[in-house]
Amino acid sequence: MNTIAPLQTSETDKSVSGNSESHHVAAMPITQKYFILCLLQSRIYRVIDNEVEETSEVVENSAVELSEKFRTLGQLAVSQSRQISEIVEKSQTVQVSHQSKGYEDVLNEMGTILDDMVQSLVGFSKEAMRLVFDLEDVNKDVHEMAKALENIDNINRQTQYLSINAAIESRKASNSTSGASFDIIANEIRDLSKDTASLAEYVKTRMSKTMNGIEGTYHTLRTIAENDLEPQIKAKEKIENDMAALMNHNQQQSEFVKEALSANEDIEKMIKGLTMTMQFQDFSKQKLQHVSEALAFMQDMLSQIQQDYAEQNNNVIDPQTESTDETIQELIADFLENCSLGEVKTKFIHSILNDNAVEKSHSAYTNKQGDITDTDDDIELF
Amino acid sequence: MQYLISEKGSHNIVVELSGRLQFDDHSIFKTMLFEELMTDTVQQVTFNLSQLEFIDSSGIGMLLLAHEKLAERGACMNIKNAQGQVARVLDLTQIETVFEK
Repeated sequence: MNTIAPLQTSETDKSVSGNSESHHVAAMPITQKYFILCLLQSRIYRVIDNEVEETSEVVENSAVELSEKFRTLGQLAVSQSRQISEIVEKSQTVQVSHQSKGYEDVLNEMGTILDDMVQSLVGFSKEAMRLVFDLEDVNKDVHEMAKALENIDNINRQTQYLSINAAIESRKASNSTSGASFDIIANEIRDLSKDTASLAEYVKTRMSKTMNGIEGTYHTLRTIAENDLEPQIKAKEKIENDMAALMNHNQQQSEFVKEALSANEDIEKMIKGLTMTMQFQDFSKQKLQHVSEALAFMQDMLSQIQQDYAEQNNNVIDPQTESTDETIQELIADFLENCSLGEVKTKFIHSILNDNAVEKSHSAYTNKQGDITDTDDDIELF
Repeated sequence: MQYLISEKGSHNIVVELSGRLQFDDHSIFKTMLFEELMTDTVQQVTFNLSQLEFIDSSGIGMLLLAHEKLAERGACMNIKNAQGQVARVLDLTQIETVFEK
């Protein structure tokens, strides 16, 4: 293989435009220029090949990685959806004593139990006030009886005085004829006796009333005291059961939510990972930019040589001759035999034959429904 | 507790309660009930609670007893215009449903 000394560049050679070609290169015969170009092209092609291969590898690996990550993301999303469905489903019911009940039903039951307990208390209050009213009456009666007993005492005292007087007068009467005094005394004692009888009757009535009051009070107290606590006990047990079930339900819900949150965190991490993996496009872009710049440089070089050739041959020979076209077609035919992408193939042939820039196409790389028609080739997977 | 009776002696008696109805008021309430409300002609007794500031369980008990005693005489009883704490207690105990029966 012929080798030449590496091209020495100066500041004036930095531009790829033919207008700034160095004096050394400008003085070279065209054949030598073309020879050097061929060597340069060869090197550039190797570099381009390497860049493209690297880019291809990166894209392939990234696509695989993305595919894996999207698959995992999909699984996580499905799992999370399932968890949320469970949460929603289980939030509607509560397990109470091995029975499944609606959340609202449990709360309504507890409300009813509390209402019943309040009603019991209200009942107690009513009976207690009845007791108080009855005791008030009893209290009054007892005071009245106390007064009556005091009066009886007074009567007794008077009766005693009269008795003593009667005894004294009796002794006196045995020595005289004044029996009238005894009559007076006898009358007084009779009157006192009537008062005593009437008082006794009064006390009897009061006693009876008091006894009735006490009996009523006794019954009221009994009603308050001997209240069967079984309903309250059952109510308390029911409330405790319901509360335990609600707490358990709450605990389960918390666990479900934690699991869902954990799945959510995994999804977040996965998305971050995906975002980082997507950066392969930046790497690929830079690589392809290098390729593009190298190809642009080569195009400039070829243009310059084409121009030099035309000048040297006084523009007699028109590069766009039939034989040139035929040669190009042969070369292209050879190339296209190895080209597998249908769409690319069509556009490439078109551009070369018409000497146009290749039309940019994204239809092979996007999922836009409107861009794909029936006449397009089938989307070919990479 | 203070009370004011309007239309005394008629078939329909309105009693306006004010202040606080609690245990210490049992004497005055009982006197009002047995001596002024339980007349021979009474058919309906309405307790206006708009000026009543407070009621406890004993007050509730007194109202229930009043309802019972009046019912024994064939008379109806109801309450109206409860405010604030009194309204909340009546709502909790649901005694208005008892008076509606």
